[in-house]
Amino acid sequence: MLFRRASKNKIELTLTPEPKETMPRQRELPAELLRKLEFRVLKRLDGFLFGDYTGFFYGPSLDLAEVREYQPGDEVRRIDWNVTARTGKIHIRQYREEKEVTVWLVVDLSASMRFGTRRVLKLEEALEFVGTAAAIVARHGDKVGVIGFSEAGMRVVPPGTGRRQALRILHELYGLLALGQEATASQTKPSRAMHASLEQALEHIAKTLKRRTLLFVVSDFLNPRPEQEPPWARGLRRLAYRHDVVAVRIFDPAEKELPRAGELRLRDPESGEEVWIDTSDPRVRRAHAALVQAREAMLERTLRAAQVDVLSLSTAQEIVEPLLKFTLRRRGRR
Amino acid sequence: MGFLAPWNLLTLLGLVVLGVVYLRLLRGPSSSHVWYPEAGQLGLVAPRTLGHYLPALAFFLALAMALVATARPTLRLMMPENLAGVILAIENGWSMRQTDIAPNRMVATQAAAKALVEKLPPQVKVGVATFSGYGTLLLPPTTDRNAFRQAIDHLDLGGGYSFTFGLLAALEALPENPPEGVSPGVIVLFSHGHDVSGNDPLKIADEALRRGIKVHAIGVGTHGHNFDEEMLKKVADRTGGRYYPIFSANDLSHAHADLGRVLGWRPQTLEASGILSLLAALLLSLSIGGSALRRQVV
Repeated sequence: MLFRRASKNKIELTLTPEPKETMPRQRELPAELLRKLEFRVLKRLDGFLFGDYTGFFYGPSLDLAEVREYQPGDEVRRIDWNVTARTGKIHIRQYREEKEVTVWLVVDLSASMRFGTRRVLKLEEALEFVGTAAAIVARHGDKVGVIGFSEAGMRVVPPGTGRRQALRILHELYGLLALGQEATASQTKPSRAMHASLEQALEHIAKTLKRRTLLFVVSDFLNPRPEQEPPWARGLRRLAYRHDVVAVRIFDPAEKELPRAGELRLRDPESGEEVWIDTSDPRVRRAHAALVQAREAMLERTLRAAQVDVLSLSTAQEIVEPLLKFTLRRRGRR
Repeated sequence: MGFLAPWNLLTLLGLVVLGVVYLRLLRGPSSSHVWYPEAGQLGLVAPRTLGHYLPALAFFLALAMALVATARPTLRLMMPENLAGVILAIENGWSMRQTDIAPNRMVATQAAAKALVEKLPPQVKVGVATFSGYGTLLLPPTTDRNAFRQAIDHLDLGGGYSFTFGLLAALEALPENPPEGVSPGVIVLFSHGHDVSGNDPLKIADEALRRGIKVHAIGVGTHGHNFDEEMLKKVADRTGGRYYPIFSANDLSHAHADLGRVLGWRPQTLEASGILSLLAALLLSLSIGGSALRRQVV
């Protein structure tokens, strides 16, 4: 039938007008996130590692705890030959971390983390990592503490144990996140005093920590001036000297390769600066590629100089696989 | 260039206001932006191009053209005139051998005639009449320029001098009643202005005027050398034509340059709104096409 009479709609819909400001995406509650991670990440990691997270948490350490007699199951390379020769019985060296460990998580929740073009935003990826790490530590009965920082300031959760601690950490970080978003939404520049940077967070934790700990620094490690050494480099080096530091780098693939999307107005989440560029223009793409290359080279140099382990997490990927690879790599190096 | 409705040009002021608003909007934060970490750095290194502003520029230009078109601009253009013919009446008496104009009057006249015809639109018919003691139509009006050049090159000299015979021969060569939409024709008279035939030149001029034929006169000669420009002036004036005194070959070329502009071409006032509207439409499609091509997402 060529001409069809327009029939009246049988279903009438009332559409509420769209709110002018797009509301931030509703996030699940900390408990939900933790449950989801336990199910989706920990279960799968357990499948590979049988719950043995040595390597992931118990990195190389020089803090000798004790020398004890060999028991079946101990690693042969841990045998302390001097003591064995002296006593005539096989002894092995045991390190402190193997007994108990305090884990600190330094989490960057600044505006640049509120970005993501794939599976999740960078900060969601960071929170997934934090939740997973806290859950693993909690399961082993070790202590975990957190320092979260953003434009809205710094939040410190002192080390604690158990699943409740993991929940508390997530809860605090969610609160900090909400504060940061409010600051951005109201377009008021948070005062300089409140604004906390990675540099300040590292400085704070360096002052706080007394004993050797395992430290995860979760950030995108972006550097406003790629040709210079980032301001946090010194703090990181100093921390890595005394502690076991792992840099957890969160990135989005769109940061490394500019999306080919024609003309766009890009706004910098940190400075609020706007640039109007043609992302398909080969000259712009070349300039961006050079920028990325310089940034990556500087970051790699800085992290290598600080002698920290690096775990890279992409927002395009579930965190299980990189975590597993990282654990196996670290375990192999011990 | 003029305008039939110049007051409409005031609407361009509105365009200026629009431009200011646009620039203001451009400076402020955009409502449709994309968050991108380190965009500030990219802004520093990315090359700045005028390409961003091209669609907006084309849009404003299109708007300006459309607004100018409403003021109905007019252009004065020289359009080819539909002439029944141009007759060159050239004196070929012995007096044309005089050398008061270098190299002599005849050669200078020949060169001037050829140069003059070259300036005419190609579709204009040109004829040649010569006169000395009597008038002859050497070449009937034709568009064949080769025939014209041959006729001019092979002018020979005879006795006597009466330009009225030349005028009469030329008048005869032009159609009495030109067809609708065709102007009657033009006579260009090359002469030193003496007439011994006993005809009244002004009567002949009146006849030309009645038929709507203009007579342009070119005085070939210099004062004191068998030259009388008064009658030539009168004849030209009577018919609404022009008179050019020629004292040297240089003067002659000036004269035919001036005459060439008038002869065969007619100034016409045309309204250019249509062309402007077309340009506006083209610019508008350029603007829309350009922005659609480059904005792939937002």
